[in-house]
Amino acid sequence: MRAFSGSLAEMFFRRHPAGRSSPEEAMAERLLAGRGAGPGAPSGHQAVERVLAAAARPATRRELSGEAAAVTAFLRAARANEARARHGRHGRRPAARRPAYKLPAVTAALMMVMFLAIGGTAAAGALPGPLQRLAHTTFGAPAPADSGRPPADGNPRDGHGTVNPATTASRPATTGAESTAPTAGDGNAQGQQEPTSAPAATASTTKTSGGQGDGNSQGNGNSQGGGTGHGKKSGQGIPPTPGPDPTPTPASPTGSVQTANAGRQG
Amino acid sequence: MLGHEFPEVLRRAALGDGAAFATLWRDTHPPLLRYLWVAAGDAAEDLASEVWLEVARRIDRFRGGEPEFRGWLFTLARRKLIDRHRYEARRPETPIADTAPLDRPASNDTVAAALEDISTEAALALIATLPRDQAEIVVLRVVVGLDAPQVARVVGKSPGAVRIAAHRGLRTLAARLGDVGMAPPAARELPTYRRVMAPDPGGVTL
Repeated sequence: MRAFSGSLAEMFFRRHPAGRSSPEEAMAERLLAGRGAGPGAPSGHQAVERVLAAAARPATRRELSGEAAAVTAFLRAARANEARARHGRHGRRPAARRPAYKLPAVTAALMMVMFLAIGGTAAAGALPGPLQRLAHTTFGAPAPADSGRPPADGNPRDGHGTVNPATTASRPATTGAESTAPTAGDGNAQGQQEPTSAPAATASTTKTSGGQGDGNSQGNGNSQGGGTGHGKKSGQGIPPTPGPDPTPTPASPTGSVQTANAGRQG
Repeated sequence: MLGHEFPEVLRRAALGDGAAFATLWRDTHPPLLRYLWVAAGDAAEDLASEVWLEVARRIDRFRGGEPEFRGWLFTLARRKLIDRHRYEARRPETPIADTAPLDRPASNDTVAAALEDISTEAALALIATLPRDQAEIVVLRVVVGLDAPQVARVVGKSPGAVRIAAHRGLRTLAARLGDVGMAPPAARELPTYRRVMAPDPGGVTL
C-alpha cells in the first residue's frame, strides 16, 4: 500500500498537475501576500483586496494607547528576573560549597561503617580464610576454623614461639574423648594466650574437640585465669569436683564457662 | 517591521532596556491585538497583556531574528488562546439573556460596514465571521505578515493545510461580499479545487 504523506485536506484538494497552481490559487496567494488583485481583476477579488488592506492598515492610536503600561510591566518583570538571577547565584554558591565540607564527613562515616562491618565480621569469624587469618594476626580476631595448616609457631602476637592453642585443637579432635592425657600444648598454652584473644573462638574450639580438646582449652582458660583447675581435672581424669571451678572473669565469661563444662565432660 | 535594527533592539530589550522594549511593542502589538480580537473578541486586551508579560519574562532567553521573534510571539498568543478556550469550556457562563448571536459579528452588518468605509475594525469584524481556524490563518498571513510555513508552525498544521484554509477563507469572504451587492464573485474566479479520490488502501474493510 502506498502511504499518503500529505494532510487529509491535501488528499482531497490537489493542486493542478505539474506542480502549477491554478489562477485562482495564484490570485489568492497575491491577496494574502498583500500584493493586490491587480488591475483588471474581477470585482469580487477587488472587494476582498480592500477588506484585507483595511485589516492590515497601520496601527491606530487606540491600539497603541497601552504602551506606557506595557513598558512599566516589562520593567517590573525585568527587575524580577534580575532579582531571581541574583537569588539564583546566592543560592548556588552554598550549594557549590556544600560538598567541600560534606565530603570529609561522608568519607569518615563510610570508613567507620566499613571498619565496623569488617571488624564485626572478623570478630564473628565469618571472613574468608585468608582474610580471617590476616585479621587474626593483625588484631587478634579468631583464627579461621578451617585452616588446614597451622600458622607459623612464631606468632608475633603470642610472643612465646609456642603452638597456638586454637590451631592445635584440630589435631586432637580426631581422637575425641579417648585420650584424656593432656598434651604438651596444654602446659605451653597456659598463660600464653593474650587476654585479647577472642573467647568465642576458644570456646568453640574447646567444644568441638571433645575430651582432648579440653587440654587445648586450658590454654584459653589460663589466659582467663581459670585454666589451672581445668588442667588438673581433664588432664588427670579426675571427676569434676565442685571446689576448684574456675571463676569466670568478666573479660570472657563465655569462654570460661564452656571450658569448665568441657572439663566436666572429660 | 524593524528590519536591520531588530538585533540591536532585541539585545537591549533582553538587557532590560525599556525603550527597546517599547520599540518592539509598538511594532508588534497592533497585529497581536488584531489577531487576538479576531480569535477571542473582547478578551483580546487581557490576552495581549498576558502575552507581553510572558515575553518580558523570557526575552533574555530568546534567540533568533525578526521572523522568528514574530513566530514566537504569536505562538505564545495562540497558547494563551487555547488556555482561555479550555478555561471557558470548563466554566461555561450561563447567559441571562439570548446573547449568543452577539458573541461574533453578524456577517451582513459587518459586510455592510466594511463596504461603507472599510475601517480596520469593520474589516476585522468581517474576517471574524469566518470559521475560527480560517480567520486565524487569514489574519496571521495578511495582518501579521507571516508566510505559509511560518503560520503552519504557529498553528501546528502543515503548510498545505494552511494554504487551503486561507483560500477557503478568502472564498467565503468573497461570497459574503457578493451577497451585499458587490459584484458577486463567481465560483470560477476564486480558488477552486478538484476533488480526487483517496488512493485505494488495499482492500481494507472496516
